[in-house]
Amino acid sequence: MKRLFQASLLLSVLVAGATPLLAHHGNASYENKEVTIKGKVTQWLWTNPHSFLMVDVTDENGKVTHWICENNAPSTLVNFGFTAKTFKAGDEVTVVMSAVAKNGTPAGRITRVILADGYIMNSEIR
Amino acid sequence: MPRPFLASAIAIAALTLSPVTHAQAPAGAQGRQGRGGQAGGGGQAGGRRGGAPAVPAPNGQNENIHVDGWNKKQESLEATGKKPGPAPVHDLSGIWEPVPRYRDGVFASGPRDMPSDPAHEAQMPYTPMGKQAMQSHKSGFGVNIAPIAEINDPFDNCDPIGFPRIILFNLRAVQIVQTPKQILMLYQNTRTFRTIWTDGREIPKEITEPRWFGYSVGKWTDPTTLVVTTTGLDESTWIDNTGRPHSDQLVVEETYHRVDELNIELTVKITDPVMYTQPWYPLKNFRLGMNAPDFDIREMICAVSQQALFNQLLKSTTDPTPEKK
Repeated sequence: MKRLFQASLLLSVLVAGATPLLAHHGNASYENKEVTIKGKVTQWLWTNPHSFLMVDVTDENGKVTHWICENNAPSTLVNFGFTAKTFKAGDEVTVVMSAVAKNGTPAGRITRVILADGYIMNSEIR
Repeated sequence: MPRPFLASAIAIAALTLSPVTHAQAPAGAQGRQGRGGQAGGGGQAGGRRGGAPAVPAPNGQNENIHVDGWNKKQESLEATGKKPGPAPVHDLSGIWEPVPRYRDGVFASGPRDMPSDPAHEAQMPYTPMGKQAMQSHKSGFGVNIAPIAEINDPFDNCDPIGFPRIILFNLRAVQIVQTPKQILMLYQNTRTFRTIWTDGREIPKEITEPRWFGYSVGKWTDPTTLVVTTTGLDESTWIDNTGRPHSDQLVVEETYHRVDELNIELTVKITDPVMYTQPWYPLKNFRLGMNAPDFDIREMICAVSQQALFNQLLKSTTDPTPEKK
C-alpha cells in the first residue's frame, strides 16, 4: 500500500495538472511550476472568492514552513466532493500545486490534495 | 513570508471565520461525496467527465458530480433524459443554469462572445474615452491583466457586483419568478435579485438616482421572447470581469428566448455612446437549461471579512521581501 502510494505520488509530481478556474484575481503573481509538499493542515478556509488550505511543512532539521495553498471557489469545489469539513487541523496531506508565487513566498495554487490514505481530491475536473 | 503577516492572517481567520474553520467534525460521507457508497467512487472511471489529470489513483479519487445547495446530485432536466415540450407562452419561470456545463457562465476572462483576448479586444468599438477608461481599469484578467497590487476591481472590496456584470461574470444558477406585474431574477452569484417590471411602464425618462442594478422593464415581443431594457446604472461598476467600462448612458438589452420547455437562449446587447461607437454583444444565444424544481440554489456571497483575508493572503505573493525558505 505504501509503495503504491509513493508510486502514485511520484507520478502525480511528474504529470502536470489542469488549470484551475479563477475568480476575480488573476495569476500575475504566480508562475507555472509544479511543486509538491507534504505536511499537516493547520486551517481549511472555506471562503469566497477562493478557499485556502494552510499547511505546515517540517523539513529534516525541524524547520517549519507555513504554506498558503489556494484552492477553487466553494461553489465549484462542492461539485468535486469538497465541503467545509473536508480537511481539519492535524490532517496529514500531500498537496500538489501547479503554480507558485514568483517572489518565493510559500504559496501556490492547488491542483490536487492527496489524503493520508492515498485518496486524491482533484481541484479541477472538467 | 514575514511572520507578523502570517500571525495576523491567522488571527483574522480565527476571528472572522470561526464557525467555518473551527468546525472540527470528522470528514464523513458528506465530506467526500464520491467515496464509499457512490457507484464508481472507488475507481477512476466512475462518473468522471474527462479532463482531470491522468493520475493513477489506486485508493480512489473525487469525481465531478453537480450538486445543489443541499448537496443533492442535480443535472439539467434535459441531461436527465427528459424530452422538452414546446415553450409555454409568456413564461420564463423556473430554476435555470448554464448548459451544457453548469460552469459555462463563469466568464472569468470576459463573456463568451466577447472575451478579453487580443483578437476580440481588437473588435471592441471603444471611443477614445472608452479606451482610456478601459486602460484605467486594472483587472486580474484579460488583455490588461495587472499585477495583484495594482488591481482596482471594485468587486474585490465586495462592492455590489451590479448589472450587467451579474450576468456577465459567474452567471450560475438563477431562479426566475413571475408575478402579474413583475419578473424577478434571483441569482446564485452574490445572492441578489433584480426586478423587471412587465406592467407596461416605460424606462424612466430622467434618472435622479443611479442604481447598482438600474431600472428594468420587460416586454414580450412574441409569445416566447422577452426583451428587457435596463438603464440608470451606477458608473462605478464594471460591465464584466475584465473591466469593460460604462457611463451613465449605458443601455443594456437582454433578450430571453424560450426555445422550448427546457431551454432559454440569452442575448445581451450593450449600447453606450460615451464608451462605445456602436453596440456590441457580450452574449449571443447563450443557453440556460431548466433544472428540477427541487434544485436548491447555494450561497455564493462576497463577504467583506473573507474577501479581506483573501486579498491579504494573495498580497503576500507579491511581497518583495518574503521570508527565505
